[in-house]
Amino acid sequence: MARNPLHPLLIAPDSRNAARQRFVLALKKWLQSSRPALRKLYETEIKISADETAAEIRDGLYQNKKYQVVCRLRRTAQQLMWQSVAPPIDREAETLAQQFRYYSSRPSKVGSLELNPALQAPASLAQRDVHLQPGGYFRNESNWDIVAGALYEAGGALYSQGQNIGVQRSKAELVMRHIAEVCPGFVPKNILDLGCAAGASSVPYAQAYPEAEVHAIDLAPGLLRYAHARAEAMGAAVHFHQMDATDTTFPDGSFDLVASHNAMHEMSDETRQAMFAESRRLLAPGGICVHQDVPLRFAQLDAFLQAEYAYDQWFNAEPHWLEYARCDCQAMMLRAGFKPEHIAVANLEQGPSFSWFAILGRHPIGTETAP
Amino acid sequence: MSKADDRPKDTGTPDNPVFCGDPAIDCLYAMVLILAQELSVKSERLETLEQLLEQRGLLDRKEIDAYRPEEEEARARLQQHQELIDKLLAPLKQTE
Repeated sequence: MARNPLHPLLIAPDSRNAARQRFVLALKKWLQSSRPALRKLYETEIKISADETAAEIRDGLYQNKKYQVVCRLRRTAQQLMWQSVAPPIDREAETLAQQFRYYSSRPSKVGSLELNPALQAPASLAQRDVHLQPGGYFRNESNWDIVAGALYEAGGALYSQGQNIGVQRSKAELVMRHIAEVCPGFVPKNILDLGCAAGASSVPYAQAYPEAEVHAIDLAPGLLRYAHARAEAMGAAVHFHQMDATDTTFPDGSFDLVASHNAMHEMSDETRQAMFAESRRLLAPGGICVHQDVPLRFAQLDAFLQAEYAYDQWFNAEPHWLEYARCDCQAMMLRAGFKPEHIAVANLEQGPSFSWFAILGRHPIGTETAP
Repeated sequence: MSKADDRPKDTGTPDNPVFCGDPAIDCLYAMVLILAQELSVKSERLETLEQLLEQRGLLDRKEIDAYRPEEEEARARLQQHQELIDKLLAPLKQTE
């Protein structure tokens, strides 16, 4: 299944907004391809000495006039992205609400949706428009509002193309392919997707393992409603729940595959640690957990790139971006109760120029080899 | 621009970051990009139109140069110019 599959909830932009989106894509590709030139700018016009500290590099960069213009363009490009993505979706908000009502109530539905309005959203995500998405993840204007999910999927598709991230395979497929390599014959019967957002990774699990029971959780009701309607429209049996990934209501050992996709960078260190511990608690004997996210590991980047990538925390409303980039996932998995020999790091190749980061952990019982 | 240090975790993204030292310069860059975007959109539509018309044998592209709009059409075009200007100058009206 392609990473951005077609389904009835997708709203085709009108021709003008489609053209605007193509322009934004061209602009974002230009910004992405300008990174080597920015390093050259630093080396030739900003760097004062060979032994600059990380803070000196960062300040030199962000105080440079040319670099400031690039930052301005990055910010404006992201804003123009939403300004071309949101109007066609906003215009169809009522149609989307009708689709939600249709798919969530038709007798032939294969999955389910369970919301919990009492659940508190974390302030760091609820009080800002993460990635500058209008209304943020927690937009919730009615009991049928699924616009947050529609924006998330449409914006995410455009963003990924601008980052030159391949779209041939879904992230879940890359995880399944990796598991097939390291644990041949592993067929999960109970699967949980933590922080599922629009359910783009939950659906491929249900399709790949039709015998399995697939559950997916998130905190944001508008994302979950969209994910549910989307999965139903695609005929995928997924059970969505509004739950906290650090404190689910599933009993111990409920799942033999626990996954998260692009969720770690949306969490504080404390939350991420708690999610790893919850993953450990939920794993059945012999089960595997896989947490996949952007390949942003500061331990592997020099100070120039660390300064470059800090942009997203400061100016793209990514409140936990730097915490994620700096964290030691292996140490956190150890603290969560996984044994060293059952923890592994993987690079999941999305295309010739992009690989996702993933950390894997196995339940010790029934494990003959490390993942 | 704000000093690029490790901000306290909960301040997140400022609503109105100034990158270029002077908000007017930031505005100008945003305006130029919007202008370029709309120019791109218009180029696409024009190309679509000319291709469709030529495919159907309805247009000799030279006729476009010779075309003069009627009064009502000219007013509609003025409206379009105004819409473009509203969009182009929007950064001056917005908090960002």
